[in-house]
Amino acid sequence: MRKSVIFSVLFFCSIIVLAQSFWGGDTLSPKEVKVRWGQKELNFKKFKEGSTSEKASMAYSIIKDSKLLGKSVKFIRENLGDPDGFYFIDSYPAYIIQQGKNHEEETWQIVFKLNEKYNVREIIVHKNCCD
Amino acid sequence: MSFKHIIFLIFFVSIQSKSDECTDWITKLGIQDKSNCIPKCLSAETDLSTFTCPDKCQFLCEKTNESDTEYNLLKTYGLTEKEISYCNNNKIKCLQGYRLSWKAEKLCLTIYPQSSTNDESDACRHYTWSILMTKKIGLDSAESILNAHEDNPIEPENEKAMDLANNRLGLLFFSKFKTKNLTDEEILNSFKKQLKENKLIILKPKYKKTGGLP
Repeated sequence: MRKSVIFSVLFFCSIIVLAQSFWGGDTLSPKEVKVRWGQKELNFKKFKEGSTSEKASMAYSIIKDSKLLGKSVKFIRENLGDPDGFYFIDSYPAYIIQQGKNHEEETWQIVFKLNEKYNVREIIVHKNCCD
Repeated sequence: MSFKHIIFLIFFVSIQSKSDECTDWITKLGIQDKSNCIPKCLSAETDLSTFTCPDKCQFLCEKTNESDTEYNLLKTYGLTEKEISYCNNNKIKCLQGYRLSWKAEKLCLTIYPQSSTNDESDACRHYTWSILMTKKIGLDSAESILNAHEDNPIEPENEKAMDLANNRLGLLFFSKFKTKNLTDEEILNSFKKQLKENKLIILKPKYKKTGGLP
């Protein structure tokens, strides 16, 4: 009985993990973002004009500092530049922060998920490629 | 975990890889009362492609609950108003269509190292998606979804124009060949051919020097 319960729990946990992975793709927690790329303060000009590594260094600040939440897509594009990533649909601005040269190298992006009024409701760091 | 449990796990995982036909079949049954799903599923009519589906009623009924969740989750991924309106009236085709958009991205990621915007990978996604959808749900439905998808008030006009043009190219390609036996490889090869012939619209090409390919 006990083994059946453990098995069932493990099975359903794996389904949940698979579903989350399918529906959102691989993402990083703020802590993981900080460990990977550091925590430079957000500077709009530097982000807009900087390299992917420059953008990556500001990813943690963007996530933790909630001042971009609620902002419009127009604001995001004006201040962070034209998006160059892609997350499920064209509407969500996504910016590549680590670019793999081929399928063996990971590509990560910071994504601004929008609400029905096209304002930012959530910011995540997502693996653009590859599984 | 014992060997018996491992076998159970493998058994359940193998059930997960059932065909799309059974998912479509049970969705079409339109069973509203989820508590009555299994009896209705067991007694529903089948055809040559769905005759094995009643064997999987328990799983399919659980999956139907997931599809409702899937549909609700789909709506959280920023569909336009026209998309939501279309999907509310055409749930099956909507879900089929958007599953194919994820397939299109995966196919294009076999060519490109990442999914980007306004470059060749973007053109690939739109072109491939339009063909996959036309193949699966027909030209009219594919066109409805594609146009509804582009009815996005926040998308810049030039980006919208690029997407619409590449969608159109995919629809035209399928209309010309009119074969449902088109493989994924053939679709990607047709994309590469369109690239070579400069027929796709690409606002920010990344691979101009190499003919549009990495």
